[in-house]
Amino acid sequence: MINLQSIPLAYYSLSATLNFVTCLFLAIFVFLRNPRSNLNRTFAIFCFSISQWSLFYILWLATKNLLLADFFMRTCMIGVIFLPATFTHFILVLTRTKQKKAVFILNYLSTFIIAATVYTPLYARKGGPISAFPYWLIPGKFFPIHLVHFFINLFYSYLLILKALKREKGLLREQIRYIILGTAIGFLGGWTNYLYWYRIVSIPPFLNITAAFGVSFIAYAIIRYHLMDINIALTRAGIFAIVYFPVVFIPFWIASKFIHTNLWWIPILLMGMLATSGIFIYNNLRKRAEARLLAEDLKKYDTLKRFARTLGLIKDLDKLLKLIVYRLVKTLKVTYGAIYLFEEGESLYLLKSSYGLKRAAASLIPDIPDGSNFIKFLVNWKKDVLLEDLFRLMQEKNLDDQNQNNQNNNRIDLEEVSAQMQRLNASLLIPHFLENTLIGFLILGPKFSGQHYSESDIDVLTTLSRSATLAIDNALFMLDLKKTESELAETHRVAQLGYLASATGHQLSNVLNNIVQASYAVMDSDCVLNSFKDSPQAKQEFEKAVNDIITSARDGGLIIDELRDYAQAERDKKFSPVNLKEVLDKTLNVLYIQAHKFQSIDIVVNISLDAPLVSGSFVGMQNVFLNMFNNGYDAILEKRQYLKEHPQPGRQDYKGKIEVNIARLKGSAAIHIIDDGKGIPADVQKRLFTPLYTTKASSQKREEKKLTGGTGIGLYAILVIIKNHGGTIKVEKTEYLKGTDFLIQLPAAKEDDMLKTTVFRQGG
Amino acid sequence: MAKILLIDDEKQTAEYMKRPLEKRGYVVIIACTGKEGLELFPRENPDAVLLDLGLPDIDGREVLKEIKSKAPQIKVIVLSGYKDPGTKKELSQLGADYFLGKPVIPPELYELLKKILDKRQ
Repeated sequence: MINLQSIPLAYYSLSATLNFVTCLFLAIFVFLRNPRSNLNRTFAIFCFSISQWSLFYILWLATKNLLLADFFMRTCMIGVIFLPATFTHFILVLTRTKQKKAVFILNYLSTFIIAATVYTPLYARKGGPISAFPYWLIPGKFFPIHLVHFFINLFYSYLLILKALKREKGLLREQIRYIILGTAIGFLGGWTNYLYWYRIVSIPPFLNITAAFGVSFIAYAIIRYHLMDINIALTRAGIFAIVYFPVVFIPFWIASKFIHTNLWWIPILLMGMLATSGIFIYNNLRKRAEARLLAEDLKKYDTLKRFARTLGLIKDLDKLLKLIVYRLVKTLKVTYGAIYLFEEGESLYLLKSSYGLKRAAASLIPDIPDGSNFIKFLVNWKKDVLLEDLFRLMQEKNLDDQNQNNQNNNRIDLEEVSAQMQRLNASLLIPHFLENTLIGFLILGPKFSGQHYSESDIDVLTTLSRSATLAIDNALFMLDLKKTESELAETHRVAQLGYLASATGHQLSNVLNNIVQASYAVMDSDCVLNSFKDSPQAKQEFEKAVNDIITSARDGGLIIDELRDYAQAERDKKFSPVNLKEVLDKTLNVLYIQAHKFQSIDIVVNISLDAPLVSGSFVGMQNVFLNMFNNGYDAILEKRQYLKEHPQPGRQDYKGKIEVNIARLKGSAAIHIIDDGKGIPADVQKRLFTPLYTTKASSQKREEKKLTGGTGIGLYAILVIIKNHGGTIKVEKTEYLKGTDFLIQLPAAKEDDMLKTTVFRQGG
Repeated sequence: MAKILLIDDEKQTAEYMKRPLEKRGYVVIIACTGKEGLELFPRENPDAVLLDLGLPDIDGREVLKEIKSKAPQIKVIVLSGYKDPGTKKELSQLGADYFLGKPVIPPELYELLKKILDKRQ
């Protein structure tokens, strides 16, 4: 049996110092964290009472002067006298209990009355030394009143808090559990002080030190939005205490034996050794304990983490969303889950996938407008949202509004947000941000168990959310790409139709013209007419037939015109003033994201200020650039290959460069696309723009092209598109092993077209 | 008697056009290439030119420019399969006086010629 009375005075000074520092720090920290929150304020006052007690505790033990010790001990008791009322106050705010004003005032009034007697013999008489303590007061007549006041408050507060524990759910419940534990730890230690008053010498106030731990627990519960599972917190604290108790106290105990000898360095060395090994022992024990305690949770998290890693492999958006929701609902045992994604065209967040809605009897709104309070809140808040966070924010916001009625310009109606969340029966919202854009969010309903979402739950979900965001973005990109591809194919089709109609139309017109002229010449010929001299009927039939031929040929001409007009109209429909810089930006974006190969070469873009807009199709222009870049890249690859096979000094670091220069040239845009690749041999140059007839390449080639960012159409198609834009393309210059300079010229958009764009832009 | 220079690379077609025109009292000179047309033009001094755009050697537009620079008063009727407004506008800017789309319907051509040449006389 350890003799508690032999604990040296230094220990008490030390624990009081720890309490003082911790409590003062937490009082200030928690207060500053949110000065307008009642909870934070009352907690700060409560902490301040403890720190007042601790400060004078230190002074009382430090002095050898008995008179001063008497004064310090009494002053120290003022902190204790204030403790019960401030504690009750704090608990009232925490549990949102409305106490009768009279009772509230009476409580503080009695506090002041008791405090007023503290320096009189009524409260305590002069005392003397007791065990290790040089001085301890003796209770006066009023002292029991202080005790009663203390325990009534304690009892009442615990009653409130236990009632709240039963009533509340989710985060608040978890918060309350922390606070019960924290106060229990603190008061349990503090309680040991009262025994010396009644001279029960066998138990000194050796548990004083727990006040610091208890208060830390409470502070954590107040400040953190997402609490650690209390079991984990307890385990950690327990292991910490078990490991560090010997670390601190063994050297202390030894120190008390060696301090006056030459061997004073032994305890200091020991302390250093123990403190160093303590960290390792603590971490080791903590991991083991948590692995056992949280075996199930860890398994769950592990599953989700592994799941997150596989998300990137799923390219199909619908499948991906379904899988995410299903997995989360099943693994976390949640009532339901749902994902909303942003729909650019409609400025709405649409419900894209859900699971468990029927079972949870939840009905979700199919779409949420972009500008709504709910979305604005998510965009501002930027992280996961628990329903409780909102309640807390609302409380703080209310106080905010009371304090400063102005500056409401950018205020978001939190009540509407929380109402929305409650309508959705959502417990947790996880936004998906890509850079700063909210591309969507995940909603999770309450857990089946009724437990709140713990900090580790949210950690794992946030990690998962990051992978999910990337995977979703990828899938969206694939979807977009498919759309772009079909648009490109469509542009290509229209371009070819136009080209075909124009080219064949001309040929056919000549043929038809020949038919008409020949027919008319025959009908008009005198010798032919003479042969009908005797048979007017035959002449009539002949002339009718020839006229029919001429009419038919003319109709044929009209059909050609119609076809050409149709192609023209299709083309015009898709034509608008296009900013080549925007086209290039988008093209390069596609190339960089999709085809990593383009990151290995330099791409330089120079657009002169006077470069005009061109009239045309954005997609068509994009197609031209994509294919030009791919051609350039291929030429660079060929040169690399060549240099590898024929090494030349100073050429090993060849990287490859594609340069795009755009400038105005009279009424058109002149686009130079210059690569420093292998160059185009003369024989290939002749065939460069001939049709290859691969509008639909084999699936393998398509796949390859998809990866490289191309669209599978060659230079012929580029030519067709450019011709359709009324432009030209030619090889300006090419030199073996030096590179090629392609020049594309496109007519500038007409001024009235540009005017339209300007107006449109202002309008938008 | 009005003289017409017909520049068309389709020799057959040109011949078919020539006979009915001659019957209507015009003198028709045929040139099958742009080069030939430009050679014949100053020598023959025609009253009107029928010009096909798609010539094998020189682009019809160049021929048109050349003729108009030498004798702007001579009426030029362009015959072409390209009937889009862009082409028509371009041709009129180059100095073409009339445009007939292919297939050319002979009575329409005769009427036009009559109008031009009668006015001239």
